[in-house]
Amino acid sequence: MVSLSPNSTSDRSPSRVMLALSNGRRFAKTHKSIVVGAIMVGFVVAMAALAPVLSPYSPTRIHPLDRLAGVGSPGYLLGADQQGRDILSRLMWGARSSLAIAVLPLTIAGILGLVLGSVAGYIGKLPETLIMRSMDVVFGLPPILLAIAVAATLGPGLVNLVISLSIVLLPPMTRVTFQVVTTLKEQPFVDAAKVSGATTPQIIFDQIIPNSLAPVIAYGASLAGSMVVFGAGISFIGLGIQPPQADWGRMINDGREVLDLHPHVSTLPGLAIFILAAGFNFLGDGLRDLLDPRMRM
Amino acid sequence: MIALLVRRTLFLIPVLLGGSAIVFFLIHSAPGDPIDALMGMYASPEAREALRIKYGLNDPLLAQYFRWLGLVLQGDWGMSIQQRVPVLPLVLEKFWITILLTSAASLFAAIVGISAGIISAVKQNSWIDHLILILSVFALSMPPYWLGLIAIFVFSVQLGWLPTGGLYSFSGQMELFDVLKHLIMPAIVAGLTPAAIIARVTRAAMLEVLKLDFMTALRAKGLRERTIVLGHAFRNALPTVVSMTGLQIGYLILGAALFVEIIFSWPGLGLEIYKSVVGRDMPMMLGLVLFSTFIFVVLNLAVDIIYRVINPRVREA
Amino acid sequence: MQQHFRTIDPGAGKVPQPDELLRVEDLRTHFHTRHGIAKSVDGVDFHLSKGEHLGLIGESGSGKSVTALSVMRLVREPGRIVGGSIHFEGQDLLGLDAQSMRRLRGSRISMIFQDPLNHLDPVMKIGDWISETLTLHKGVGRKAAYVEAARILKVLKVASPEDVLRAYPFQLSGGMCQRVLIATAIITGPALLIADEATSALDVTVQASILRNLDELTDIFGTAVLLTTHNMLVVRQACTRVMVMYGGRIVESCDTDVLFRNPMHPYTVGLLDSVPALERIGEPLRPMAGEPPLPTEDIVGCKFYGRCPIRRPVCQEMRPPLAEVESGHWSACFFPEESRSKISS
Repeated sequence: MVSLSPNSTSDRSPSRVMLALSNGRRFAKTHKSIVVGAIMVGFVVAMAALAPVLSPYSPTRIHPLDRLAGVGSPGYLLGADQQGRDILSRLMWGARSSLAIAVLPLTIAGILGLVLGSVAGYIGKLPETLIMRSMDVVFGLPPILLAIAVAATLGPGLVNLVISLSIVLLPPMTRVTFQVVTTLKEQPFVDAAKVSGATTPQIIFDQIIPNSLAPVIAYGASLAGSMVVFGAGISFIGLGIQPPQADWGRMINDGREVLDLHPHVSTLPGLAIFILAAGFNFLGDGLRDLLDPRMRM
Repeated sequence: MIALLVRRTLFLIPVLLGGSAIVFFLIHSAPGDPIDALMGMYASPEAREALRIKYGLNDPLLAQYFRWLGLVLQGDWGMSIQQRVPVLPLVLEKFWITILLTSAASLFAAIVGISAGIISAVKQNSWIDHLILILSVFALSMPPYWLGLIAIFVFSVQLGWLPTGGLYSFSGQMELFDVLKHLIMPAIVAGLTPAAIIARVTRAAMLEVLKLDFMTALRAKGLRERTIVLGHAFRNALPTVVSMTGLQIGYLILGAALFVEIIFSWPGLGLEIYKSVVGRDMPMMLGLVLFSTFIFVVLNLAVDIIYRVINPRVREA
Repeated sequence: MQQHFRTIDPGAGKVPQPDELLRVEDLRTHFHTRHGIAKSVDGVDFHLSKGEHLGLIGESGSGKSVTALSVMRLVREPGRIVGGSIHFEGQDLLGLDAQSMRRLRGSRISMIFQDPLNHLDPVMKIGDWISETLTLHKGVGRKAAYVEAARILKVLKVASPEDVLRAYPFQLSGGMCQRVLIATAIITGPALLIADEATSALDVTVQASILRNLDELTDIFGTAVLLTTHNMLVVRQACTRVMVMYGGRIVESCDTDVLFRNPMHPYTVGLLDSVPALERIGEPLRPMAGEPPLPTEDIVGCKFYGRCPIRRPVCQEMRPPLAEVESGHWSACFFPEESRSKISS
């Protein structure tokens, strides 16, 4: 007897909700680090997105009377710096450049690395030699110094910082793609595509790149946390975003001179970097487990 | 084995050539005309042109590069604009001060990282494993320049236990104990991120070994658990751990130590790089980058050789 | 609800024999997995006399290897010995503290494994591997241990023992690695050697010579052998007595020649029919139908019920106990006499 009464469907729908809930709960339980990381990163993203609405002041508004206001002073939830600028507002606006520094170079280097690594890995021969040997040369250089040297040559600013970080990231992203692709090209579905008459560029873009995406994204995600620390470090030594624009790394350096009496000025931006980096690191760990169990640590 | 070493050493040449070419290209495209620096803004165009020819600035880029390379190989690394001294001797002098800091930091990182990694792997999925993993994520996410400031604020400003920075006190001579007191905070701060990475790598490498069949054979021999873990499992994980530790030391010398030297006014290569960036001292900065590249490449080669020597599967094959 | 028939120790009765070395009673080793509790060893009784060679035969998953590992107390997580007792040389192994158990391993009870290459430390020289055991249990110095190791390898017909001692495992053949494992296991003169599928991964010719080596060496040291295998021919060459294991239980136990002549359990009959044998040249091979039950399945009656050609309703309701059908011949079947006649006539 099959019953189609509305009763039975209403019986079923809450159970479906329960199922979805318990699935979500199981996901949260087995992928704790993804959830924790997503909350931390999400918080920073929300701050950055809502900065125009939520920030109490303009990040560059100078108010000399309130200089070095402490945490919790009236009107300054997180205090003010030496020039009387509201730290909370500067942190919110600074989140934008920190996010850009973490995400943009990884995306740029990821896309370029995916293409270069696929070409080198799939075609082999001369393209492989040319691409991989030149990557080896760049990879042989100390990354922080390379970024500093490039940023110093190009001059300060967010765009130049993104370019220099992309250059540093290109060799490792290319190498990871290359490794993935060399195992991928032995797979039967690639032969199947070849037999059905696909051209080499078609195979690279339709088969190789889409199938190497997951491990490459997992690898890139695992680097995002370090990129936050790394990028803010370059701003810290004065090569990133220029004052008076708000930037976390820069804020730490600016606050150093008043560390002994007003530690909040330099330590709060550091805390912000830490939260964002830890969020990305948790997220990266979780994504790696999810997307590429082989690279599990 | 020997053939392989020779091949690896020969591979240094293209890396160093490529690295120096990048450095040269950076000098060349750095903002500002070197003629301005030499003659000032008001020299006549004819005089400028004469000087350009004299210094070969009109030659093809490649010719300029090889001429520059020749100078570099002869030890002429140019003059520091800020400090008005030759670059190379200054770099060599600062190098040893950085080595002191990085050795201490590496020692700290290796001891802490390897022990934490082994404990974490042996007690996989226990509370201590989870704790170590979470702490390692924290350590990875902490900017060294921020951690250094907090350490200074707590231990120097508030507690007054340790000096805020520098290599030694102005009052005393360079005594061992005094230097150690200056060394301890920067070394730990610089070593923390590498320690976290080494711990994660050690854990992963140990877990790989611990699930192998011969672990059961070792227990069947009646060996103590400690012998099994340290004498066999860790011995098998060692090549991976060593190559990762070596890589971290490479990054440390040139990375974390840079920020830590700035924060703690440690007068090594990192502080020198910072000063050259702030002062727009291009010859100095590029000299430092070139030198660091050389150190990095040689260190990577050394790690590669050690890896092969301690791994019989590679050595005897 | 579940009816539980206490199995009777085959071949020994209730009175301990004077030359008894190992007595296993009602051993239960379970694995707590995500899919439920896998009763890999589900109530196993047997005994082993000094110097005896006992075979334990069964398909993969029958629980023979877990039985072997249980005697060593080396079952890996999530497996655990949940019941029964193991008496070795008069002491209760399951009651021993970890330290005392560890001292027995490698000195009084040794073990060798399937896939010998993977049971050697890949970065340790063979000589160090063998002498490590000797140094640990006998306090012999490294040099003397090397001499002793070379002597044992010579008994094992290794042509140039000194070269082998200097080699790493990956430089040796599978047969040579197994000889090394045997040398390591026997060098301390243990009372019991557990050989877990020790020849299964080797070529047939190598297999035969390794079994001969094992025979000679254990005779020299008076070592008893518990040999697990899925290969009838190995049992025939190496063991005087044999137990057949199915679904975590022993289903038949008797002298080896009796088993081949007069099997008393339908599973044994099936096993024999699926192996080629000289006596039955010209007869067709009959592979057994069906699959063994999952170890997580809760089965009240006979575990062979699903594949049994002579099953009756009672077999599904009650677990047939291991009972002595003839003197020294034990079978866990309600209809032992029918096994032979009905199936392969």
